[in-house]
Amino acid sequence: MNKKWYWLLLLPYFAVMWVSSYNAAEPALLGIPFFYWYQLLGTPLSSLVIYIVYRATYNPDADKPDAHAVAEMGQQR
Amino acid sequence: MSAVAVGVFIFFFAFVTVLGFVAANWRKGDLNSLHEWGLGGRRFGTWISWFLIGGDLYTAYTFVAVPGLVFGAGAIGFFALPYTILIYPLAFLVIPRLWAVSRRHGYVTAADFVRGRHGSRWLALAVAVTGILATMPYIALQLYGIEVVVAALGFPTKGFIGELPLIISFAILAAYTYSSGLRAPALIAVVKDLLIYLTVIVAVIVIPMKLGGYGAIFANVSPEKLLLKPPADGNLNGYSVYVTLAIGSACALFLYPHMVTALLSANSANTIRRNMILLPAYTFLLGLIALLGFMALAAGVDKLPQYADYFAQYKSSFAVPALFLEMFPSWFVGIAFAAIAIGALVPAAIMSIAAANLFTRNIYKEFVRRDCTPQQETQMAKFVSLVVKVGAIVFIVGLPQQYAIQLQLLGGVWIIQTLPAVFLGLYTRWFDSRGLLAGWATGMIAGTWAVALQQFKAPTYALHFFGWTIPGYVALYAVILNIIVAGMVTLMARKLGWSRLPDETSAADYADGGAVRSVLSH
Repeated sequence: MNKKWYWLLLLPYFAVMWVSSYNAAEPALLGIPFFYWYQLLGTPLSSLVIYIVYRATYNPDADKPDAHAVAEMGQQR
Repeated sequence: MSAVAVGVFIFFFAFVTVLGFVAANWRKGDLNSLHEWGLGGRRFGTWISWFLIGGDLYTAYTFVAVPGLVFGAGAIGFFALPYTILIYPLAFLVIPRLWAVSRRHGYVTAADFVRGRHGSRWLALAVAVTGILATMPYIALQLYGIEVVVAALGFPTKGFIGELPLIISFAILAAYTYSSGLRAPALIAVVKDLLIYLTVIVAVIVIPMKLGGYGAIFANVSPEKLLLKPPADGNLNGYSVYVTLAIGSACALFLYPHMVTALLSANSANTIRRNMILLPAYTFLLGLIALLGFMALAAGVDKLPQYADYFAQYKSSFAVPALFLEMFPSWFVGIAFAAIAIGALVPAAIMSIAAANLFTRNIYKEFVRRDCTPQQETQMAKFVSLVVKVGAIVFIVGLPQQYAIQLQLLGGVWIIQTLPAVFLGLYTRWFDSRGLLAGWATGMIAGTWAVALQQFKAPTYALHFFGWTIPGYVALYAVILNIIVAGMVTLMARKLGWSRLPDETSAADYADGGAVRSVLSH
């Protein structure tokens, strides 16, 4: 599993920080100024980025609850 | 007052009440164990977690305050959108580690983890107290959300009779939370979220149709509110405020006890990861909800005489209720308001459970009664969750609403101060626990002082840095200061040769799966 994929998770942060790229009213979409629809669009795009990282770093071990820990839970603390 | 609206409202309210009590039997477990009562047995899969976390994150206060902020302040109020975009990449990375180590060591709260990882019960106490302090005003504000919609339905708002709906709804909430624990809000969240999605999707289609389209709506917004104020003369203006509000809020969100509780109730690390991909749907919803603020502006609801008294009492928080009253038929108003009111119950329940978990594990069991049995632990938690709700009622009824809003503002600044101990602690033990404690104290004091400078009205501070003026979110500045101080004290501790406190976790505890490996490495 290549850990370099995790760097992709920084993309949404850079997009948000680069305010001058989206603080504008034009081009408007369906009457909605750019500032608003760009950020709304950013939501599924950001989701897509996380999905890509998820698939690239997928570990099937993480699908099951930790069998040992479940049994031990009764004895913990 | 419309009988139809009230009738529909009460129907949904009664429905979720029944669900709350029935929830005790759902995915049955021994509700005398804190893991079962306080974390639902850690058995929630992808979809239930989606409803629970989403219902937890997007509260009644969110639906009233975010459009209210956009209504009053314009573009800057939209920060809620980038904020709730940025939480997910961070959580995708960090939370599975917290989940894994909590699963393996039976941690129920973030403070449990801090005690185990850094070996310091005082640092854990600091984290627990911060969590409780940050949660209390948040619960009170959910009541505020209910109060606003109940008022909008036409019920009297003054005097004891005005407080009755709040008291009744919270009493019912207290009853089924007591008996069912986390299962209650999990089940109710399904209803709440479905109603919210329905309401918002209908609203963003129907209301613009009535107002002449989005172009007409935005034409009503004054230019200085439409966009952010760009930098000028060395002052970063709206840009830095927007970005620091988004990033600072994003870093703080999953440190809140109610979010930790919701996340730790998931049944696997990948359930959490999958939710980080799916939960952004709620963010999109929140963006649409924010636009409702502009619709309220365009509809001129604050200028209508029948709402004058309400706007005087609730200010911009009344924007969305007024908009719904103007634009929707009575029966849909009932559905919309039920969505908001139920939207208060779910997070209020989880918040009170989370605060109860913290008090019970990290104050009561740690300092008062170390040998309490699991049953005693759970009984205490149940009792505390009741006390917490009563406290919230007393707060909202007895004190001006401004106090709750101001305390919640501070709560955001406070909770982020646990970031070094919790999030950084998930990756490294480099920081000395005394350094973390010093950093925490510094952040708390500096943050509170900076907000006080603004008379507790706005959590922003203008940082002066090499000729630049950078107005920004106090929480972010305070936590950076926190980390710097923690680092300095840590370096000093190393130099002075202070002993390191024990770490009961091992590196493998934070990784996915590999149960057998982690047993062998102990």
